[in-house]
Amino acid sequence: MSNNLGYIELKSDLESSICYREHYESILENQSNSFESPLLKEVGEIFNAIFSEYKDLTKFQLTVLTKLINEFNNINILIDPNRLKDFNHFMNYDDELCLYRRSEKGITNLVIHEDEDITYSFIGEDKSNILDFFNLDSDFEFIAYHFFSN
Amino acid sequence: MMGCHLSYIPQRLVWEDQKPINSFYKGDLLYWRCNKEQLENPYKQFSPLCEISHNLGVNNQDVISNKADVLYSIKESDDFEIYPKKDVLTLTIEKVNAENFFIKVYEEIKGDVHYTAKMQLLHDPVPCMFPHCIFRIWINDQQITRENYKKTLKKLNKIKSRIRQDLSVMRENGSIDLNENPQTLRNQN
Repeated sequence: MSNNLGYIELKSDLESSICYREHYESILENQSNSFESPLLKEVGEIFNAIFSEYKDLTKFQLTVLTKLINEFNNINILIDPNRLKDFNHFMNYDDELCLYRRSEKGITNLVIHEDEDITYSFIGEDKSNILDFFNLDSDFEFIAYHFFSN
Repeated sequence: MMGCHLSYIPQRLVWEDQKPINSFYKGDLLYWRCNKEQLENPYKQFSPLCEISHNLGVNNQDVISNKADVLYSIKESDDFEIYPKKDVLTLTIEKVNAENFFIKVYEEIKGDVHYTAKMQLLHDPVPCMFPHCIFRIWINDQQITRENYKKTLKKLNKIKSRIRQDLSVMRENGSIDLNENPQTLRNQN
């Protein structure tokens, strides 16, 4: 168990969430090094902000977010914490939650629809144009990796 | 045809007896009024994905409107003449079909139903804005409107996403290209 004070404070914040505690607990169970990296602490704060800001997320959206948090955590621990980069979020007119990143290579959007589907989009500065669809049975490691790859 | 009752609209923009335009050409310009946030991320959608308005700027080398004209409010109910805090994006038509139309078709199977959507660029003049154009969408030949949107296109995640991607690519690239189609992520690996 980490003695990092920041980690302990963040874990405490997440576990005190009335609405989403059970989602966090399933992630933090046996993940004693979760969010220890300052970079992943920022990612954790972004997800906490998402859960706080959007009160009417559907069960599907919550499940997808939970899976993504897991995979972002895996990237940090098992692959390379430097892979994790800052991202932003918004809810569109159709109540779809969108995570997005803009880099010098282009813009990546991950749209979590109200049900059934997750849409990955990349529009590159070099005119590249990528669109793909995923669901709950998809490889979330693949999705998470590509969300940060450009 | 009802006339324009907004005195601040320049006469050159008022639709009187000009014939609607029914052909588009390579090099034509469209102007899209947007929020600054949409320049940062064209995926940001604040209204139903249907009847997406633009102004026609240049058609077959003829100047139809100026870039700033798309900032005029043409709603009598608005208490302002110019939309505040908006940006204008210029889109250049790169390719249309042999009939000089811009039409794209999309398919989705949901449940047991096969849906075919069509998005077409149309000149849609209104009394106070002759240059007004729209990207109009139909699903299985039903025109999608704000009133029926939630029961139709909103529910079709894949068609909606493909349309949103095409519109976003146009905005990022500043061009409208009939041949522009996305690759899948899995084909990259």
